[in-house]
Amino acid sequence: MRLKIGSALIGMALAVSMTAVALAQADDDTAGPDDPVSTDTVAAPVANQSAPPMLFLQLVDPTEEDVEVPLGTAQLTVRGITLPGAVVSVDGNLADVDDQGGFVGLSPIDQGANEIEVVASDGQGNQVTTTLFVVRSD
Amino acid sequence: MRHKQLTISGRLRAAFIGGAASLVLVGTTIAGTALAADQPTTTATTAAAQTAEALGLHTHQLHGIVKTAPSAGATTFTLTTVRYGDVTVSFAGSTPKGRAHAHGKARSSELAKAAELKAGDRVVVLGRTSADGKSFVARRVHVLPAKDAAGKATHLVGTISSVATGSAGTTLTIKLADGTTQSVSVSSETKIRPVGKSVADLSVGTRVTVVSKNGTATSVVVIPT
Repeated sequence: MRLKIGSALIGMALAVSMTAVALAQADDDTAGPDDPVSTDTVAAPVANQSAPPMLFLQLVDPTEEDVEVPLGTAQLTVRGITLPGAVVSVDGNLADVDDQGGFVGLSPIDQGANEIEVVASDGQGNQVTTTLFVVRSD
Repeated sequence: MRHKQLTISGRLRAAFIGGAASLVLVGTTIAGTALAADQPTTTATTAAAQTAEALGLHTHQLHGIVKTAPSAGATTFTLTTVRYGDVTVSFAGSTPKGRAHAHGKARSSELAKAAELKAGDRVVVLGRTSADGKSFVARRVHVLPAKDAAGKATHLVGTISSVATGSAGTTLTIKLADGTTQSVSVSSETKIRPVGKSVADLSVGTRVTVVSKNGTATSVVVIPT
């Protein structure tokens, strides 16, 4: 009987080992992006090194898309950063873009609500648009 | 105490029982893992549903689309916004201000009362968040002009496939990356960049980015080869 129990315990020990292996495997499969040993995390930057830089558009001023300006402000200055070499327009007016991708653009604004589109495009025809809602009032 | 001597088959039977127990445990583990793996999906769905921000104390302006037309005499309406989701806006009314010159484009209009709104109107609302943080108290409501595709600024990136010069100016036909073509008018008002370039540089085969609005090129940027 003792041997029978002993054999059963060996079987149970085997079960625990297999369970531990299964848990370890499951942990590998569900590793998140923050897991420093994740293969995906390591592989992704390597793949990105050969990809062309992606077009982006980030406004520095104004930072919010909803803006209220005093009645005396007839022109809005928009500043931001984009991919160097990109073309940027502010409400259809060409913005000045420097070698680092910094840009400054101007747009006339009317009294009341104004919808101003800031568009950036690269040489491949990709476009990114941000819309500002500017209210000029007293 | 007597001990029963196990035969080889007895030992194998015991090991088999233990192994069977192991299979049950492993099966339970795998099922548990599978269920656990489903959890992030649920979380992601919940997160997506919660992407709308709450109105903040510093929120003083909203833009969005009127969800339903307010009834006559109503002082509240629902505004669908990208940032805050559906927002209840109360508007007791105001005296619209006069409008200035609109630079030749469609103008917004300011409303005197909420009942003037229609479902689908695109509006910009000035005001503040209510004390309980659940709604927005408007002091002014502006209705934006209908979104007109022709009035939208676009960038056309491609190669000049033809140049036609007439009394009204120059018309460029641009072959885009997708193989389609679009024509734009170039006038004396059109900026040509980089500085130093002129209409004479806009020849067939030149790669350009054309910034256009209302079908007219406001700028043409020659892409360096």
